[in-house]
Amino acid sequence: MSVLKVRGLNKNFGGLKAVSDVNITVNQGELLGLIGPNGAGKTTIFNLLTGVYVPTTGTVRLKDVDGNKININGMKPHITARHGISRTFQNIRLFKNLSVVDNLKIGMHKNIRHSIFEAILRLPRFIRDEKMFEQQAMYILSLVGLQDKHAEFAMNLPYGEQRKLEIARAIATGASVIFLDEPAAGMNPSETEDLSKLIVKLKDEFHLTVILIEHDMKFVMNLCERIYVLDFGSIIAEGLPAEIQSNKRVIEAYLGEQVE
Amino acid sequence: MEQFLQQMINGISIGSIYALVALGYTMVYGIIKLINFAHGDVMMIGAYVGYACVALFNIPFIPSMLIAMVVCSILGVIIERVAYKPLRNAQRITVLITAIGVSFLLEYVMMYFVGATSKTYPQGALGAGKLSLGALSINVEQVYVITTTIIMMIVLQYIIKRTKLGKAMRAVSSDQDAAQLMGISVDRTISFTFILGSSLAAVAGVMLGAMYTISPLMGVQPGLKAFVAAVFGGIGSIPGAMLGGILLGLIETLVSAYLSSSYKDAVAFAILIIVLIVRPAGILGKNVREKV
Amino acid sequence: MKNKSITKSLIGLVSVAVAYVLIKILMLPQVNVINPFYQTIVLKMFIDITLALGLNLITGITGQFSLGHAGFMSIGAYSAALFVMKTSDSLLNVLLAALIGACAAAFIGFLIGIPTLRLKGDYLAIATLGLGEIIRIVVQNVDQNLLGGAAGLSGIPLYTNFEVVFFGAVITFIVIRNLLKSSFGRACIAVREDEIAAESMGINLTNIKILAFVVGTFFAGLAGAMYSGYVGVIQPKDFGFMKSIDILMIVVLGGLGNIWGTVIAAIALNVLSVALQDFAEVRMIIYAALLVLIMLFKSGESPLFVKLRRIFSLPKLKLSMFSKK
Repeated sequence: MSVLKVRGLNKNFGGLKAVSDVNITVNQGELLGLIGPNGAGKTTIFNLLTGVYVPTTGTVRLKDVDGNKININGMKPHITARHGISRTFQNIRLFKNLSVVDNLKIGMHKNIRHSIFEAILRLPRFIRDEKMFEQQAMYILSLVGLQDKHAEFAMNLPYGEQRKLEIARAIATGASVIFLDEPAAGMNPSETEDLSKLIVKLKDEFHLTVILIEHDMKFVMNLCERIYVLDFGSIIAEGLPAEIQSNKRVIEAYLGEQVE
Repeated sequence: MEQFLQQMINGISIGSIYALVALGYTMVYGIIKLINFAHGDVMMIGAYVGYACVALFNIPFIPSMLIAMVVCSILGVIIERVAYKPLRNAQRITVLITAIGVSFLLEYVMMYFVGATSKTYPQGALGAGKLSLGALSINVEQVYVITTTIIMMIVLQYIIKRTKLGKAMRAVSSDQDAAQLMGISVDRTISFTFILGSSLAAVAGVMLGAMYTISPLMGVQPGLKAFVAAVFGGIGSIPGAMLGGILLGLIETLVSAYLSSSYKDAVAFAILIIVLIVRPAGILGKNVREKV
Repeated sequence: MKNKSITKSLIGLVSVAVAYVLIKILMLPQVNVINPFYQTIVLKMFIDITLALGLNLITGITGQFSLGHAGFMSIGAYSAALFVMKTSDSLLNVLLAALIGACAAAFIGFLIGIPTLRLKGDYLAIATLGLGEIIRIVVQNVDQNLLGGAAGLSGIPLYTNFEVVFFGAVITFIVIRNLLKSSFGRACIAVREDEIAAESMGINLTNIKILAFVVGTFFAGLAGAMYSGYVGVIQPKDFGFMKSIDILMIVVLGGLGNIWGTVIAAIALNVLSVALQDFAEVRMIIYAALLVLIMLFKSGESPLFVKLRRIFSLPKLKLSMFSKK
């Protein structure tokens, strides 16, 4: 059963075709990998699917949190977030001067049930929401192992924990589909190992569908159930990790053309 | 028709002054992405230096202008070195607040020394009388202003397109790190930019002072207008600043002649806001996008 | 958690009451520590606090740099003054006038905010500067019989007393503080820290920016209303670019985003201006030099400033507004 269906996706920047005719189907609860050489257009696809960029042409259909099928192409990021899409960023974009727990609560802001007047007057609905946010945020933090650091400023966390916090923040939005942009970048092998386990744990806990971009092939091949390979803006292969590893076009894309 | 042409000439002459000041804004913005709020006040200092030379030391007009250019260049470089250089990697908003501080510092230090009352250059310092051109009569002052501006712009174009320093300026403004790797001294190039901008401001200040009056706060309004002109033409673009300055001068003069003089200043700011919202890159500028 | 917040509110209430009684005692003729001359300064101080808190919400907390705050103050000042002049300065009318002034400013802030808040950083700064000037020019020219043109309005009943400004500022502080410590306040900070990340987390940037702008201009209007009844004569030129910079000065000196800092800075700057009342230029020179020095001290990269920061052992930058790109 598909949760995300991308058909004929194109994105041009001026004369440059960054993404051309991309079709992707993501199944419910899947852990999908998107790989490709540098500059292949992977992050651009993430930006298109989350609403940061507007596609030149193409459709993106999402089965949202309530199970309704909707077109999300051209929607702004805060709207796609409302429909249950969330993400992390290649170059970590945390709210550096907010505490760790407040970073998560930002993700929950869209779910508030009180008005600004209730917040200013500190009325019961405000207090109830705040209490609920606090509990949820602390629970998610305990899953990623950051509960002891909940009061720290995000900018004071070490690099690896900042990556984890970004994932926790994406989950805090209540999203059902999560895009991870190079979650293991800059991590050493044992940290990468831990991250793999964490991603699987979170995916099961919150019934997530996860799509991730990564350059660490060992990480991708071990973790992902299915992989799409992108080169020069087009999908050149799709399949199980084992199939991808032996795919001739993929090897060519990474190593350059073989001399016959 | 004559009246219209007359207004056009008025517009072009005030527009020339805006253009001269706008060039300083645009060059500095192009190179260090800073709205140099103090630029209008550098112009004010230029006007006072010129006044001191002409009225107190009886130096002829052109040499006075040259002295003002030198003094303002030095001032521009000092401001950059002391206030802006330590903040080169800081958030833009920090530098902007600093620039506002420098601007006020120049204004009130000047006021402390010369008082708040305005002064006038000696009668006819910038040439007197009128030239008749058919039914048109043009002030000699305006002829001087327009000619000086044209000369300055030709010189500036030459410096930027043909000289080594000019090429360095363009290189630094398009990519500071790459320019540095190519052996260009970024510090020297930025100082040079401030020298060029400040000396053009000095020229504008001396001419503006000779046409109207001078006071420590005289730089505020023309400075803002010139900034509007720079944005209008496309901030960072040198031809844009020239075009923006002249256009703004024309629009302002025509609005005050045919609509209402009291809304003249409001029109300039309305143009600013509309340009910023509709086409932030201005008439001749280029759009840039943030990388996600 | 609930008990803790109740205790905190109680402590807050008690300190407000203590502050009120204390200032009142100091103002008594028998005590005469705050003599009638100082009393006018105290009133101005509370008006400044109100103004600067509003700007701090917009610029410090939400990161939207505004240089047109005085323009919104003038809208509040004129509408409140007109209302009191057309009716009377009974307590009810004064309260109504304050509300009308604040709402008028917030309404204009809303209308202006929608198109301009799409701009970012220094572009927004310069656009709000232009808007402030446009408001001033329009007020000066639009209906000279009603608004008095460049000469402005005079003979406004002096309805602003200590109670008005004290409770005006206290209410402003409580509202901004409660807002800051709520989901909305966190969203404002998120917008300041990183717009793209905030948007991807489901924050509607436009809504949050407009919210901050409307609340901020509301209090600018309130401050304007209090100002009218304080000076009795208002002119368009009182609300120009210089006034906006004055307010910005308080916010910057107190620390962008720091509401207690704003209160302390407003007090400090008013004390400074009393000390230097006979040297207007010197005062402005000190202001300007302070602006530059604070910025250099907080973010300057030359060895001198780095060393100074280490001596004062400031964490390399507390607020993102000052942090590196």
